[in-house]
Amino acid sequence: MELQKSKRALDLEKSFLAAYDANADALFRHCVVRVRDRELAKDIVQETFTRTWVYLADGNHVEYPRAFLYRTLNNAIVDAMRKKRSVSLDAKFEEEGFEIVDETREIPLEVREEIGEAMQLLSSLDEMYSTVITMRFINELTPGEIAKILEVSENVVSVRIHRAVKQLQKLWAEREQQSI
Amino acid sequence: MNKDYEEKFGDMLETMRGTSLTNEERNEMRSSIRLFMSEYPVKATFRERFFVREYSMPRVSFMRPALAGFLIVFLVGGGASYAAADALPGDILYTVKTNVNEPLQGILANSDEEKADWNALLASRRLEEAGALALQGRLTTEARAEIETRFEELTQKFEAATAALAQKKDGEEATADAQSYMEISLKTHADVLEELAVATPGSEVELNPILEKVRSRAQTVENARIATEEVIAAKFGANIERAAETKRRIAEREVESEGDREVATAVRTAKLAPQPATEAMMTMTMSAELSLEDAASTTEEDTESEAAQALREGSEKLQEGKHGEAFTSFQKALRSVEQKKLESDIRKRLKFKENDESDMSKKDSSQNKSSNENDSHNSSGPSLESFPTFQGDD
Repeated sequence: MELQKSKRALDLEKSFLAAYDANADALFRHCVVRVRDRELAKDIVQETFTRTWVYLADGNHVEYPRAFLYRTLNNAIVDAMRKKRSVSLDAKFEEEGFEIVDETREIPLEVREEIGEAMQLLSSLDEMYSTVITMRFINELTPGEIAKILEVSENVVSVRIHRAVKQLQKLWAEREQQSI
Repeated sequence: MNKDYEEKFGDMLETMRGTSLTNEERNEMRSSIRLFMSEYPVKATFRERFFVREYSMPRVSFMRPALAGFLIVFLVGGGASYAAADALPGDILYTVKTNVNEPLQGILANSDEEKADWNALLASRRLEEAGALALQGRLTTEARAEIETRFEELTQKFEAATAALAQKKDGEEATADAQSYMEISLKTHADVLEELAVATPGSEVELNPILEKVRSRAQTVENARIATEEVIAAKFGANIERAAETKRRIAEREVESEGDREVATAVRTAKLAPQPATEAMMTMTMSAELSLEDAASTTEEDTESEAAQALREGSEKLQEGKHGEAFTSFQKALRSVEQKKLESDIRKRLKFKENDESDMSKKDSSQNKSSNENDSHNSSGPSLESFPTFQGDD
């Protein structure tokens, strides 16, 4: 129980909660594409915010909160996936279907299946490529923002996006040929 | 580019861009994070730790109105309310403290949780005032009666607030938190007051009735807390799972830092143990090294304490999927850790230290003060003057 708080603590709490309000959905979106499990994604996002809070509460400074949150999220995803490695994601996906979108959204079964296929293809990309595709085309971050998160130059991000799209097209073409 | 490819990916991207947490999920996660934040507060900087007055700032939610109220009282009362902060029963300004300052802050505690916290804090203050008076030899029958009456009122208000909190949807966890704090607060004060009764024989007659009341109230709160935890233990579902996970993280961190503190204290105690000045240097060094090792190893064994055990039990229950029971085990671990911290805080505020460690640090402080005033090893000493060169996190 905290009975007294300094102005610094109050300001930090306020800005942290504002960062939660501003970023929770985007982080969740990014996470759910990566792990393809809505419940797991919620846990990981919460873990991301608690880890970030611990870092801040311990007196550390964060220059770019959004970039820091994404980096923490990526680490939390890696940790979570290590724990779940014994379960094949594809097997889980086939068993449970498309469990990413919340149940309240009405999406026809056919569309769900097609989206599922596209998602499967996306996650079969190299991790660095699926990450930039998710950030650029789903979370709609600019190459500059992605560069800050990944701690690489903007040029590197643009190259990765270009290559990711190429690889995706190639995988798609191969998949189409196999199905003929 | 293949049209089918474009369409499917276009659909996928559009769907995913529209994916978000539901309002319920977002709010629930926010609440869990806020709970975590409240239990893992911002660490105070060096300046805040040693130069900001205890209780000088009220809780977050009543910050602004309290400031306004404070200004009004300050302007009208010419600073009397500020000066009253340390007043004790029998002092002229005590009435200002209890009838002006505290109600001003207290009426701004809006939620039941805040009311419970606020009344628990005030009850704790009343008991500290009894301790301070006893130490000064000023605990008269009138002062004792006043403290008893106010303490009774505050504990009743606390119970009313927790009863209301428990009625709310998923309010049991917050209720258990408040009850846990009140319970350890009362028990710790009772322990300290009991020691005070022995240390200040003149005050024993007046302290004993207070002590009796505190013990009785502690028992009542403990029973209530156990009842609340029984309800929590029977809970299942995503909410209690998240609450248990949050508690686990907090308990792990607290138990870990408790272990660190204990090792640090033991090592410091070993360093502070008085050595005969005339002994050969070699003997001194060797014995100091040995006592350091002993202290560290003993503490390592001791960290397998109630807190560590409760933490382990909680983790096992969590793995078994008994989230409610896990929550209560983690809560137990936290109580154990918090009680030690609280006792240390109370003793510091009262400047009353009866344990061996503080005796030694007092001796050390007085022995070394003139010759080694800047030695940061004196940091376990009782006063701020012992920390002149401390490089904190400011």
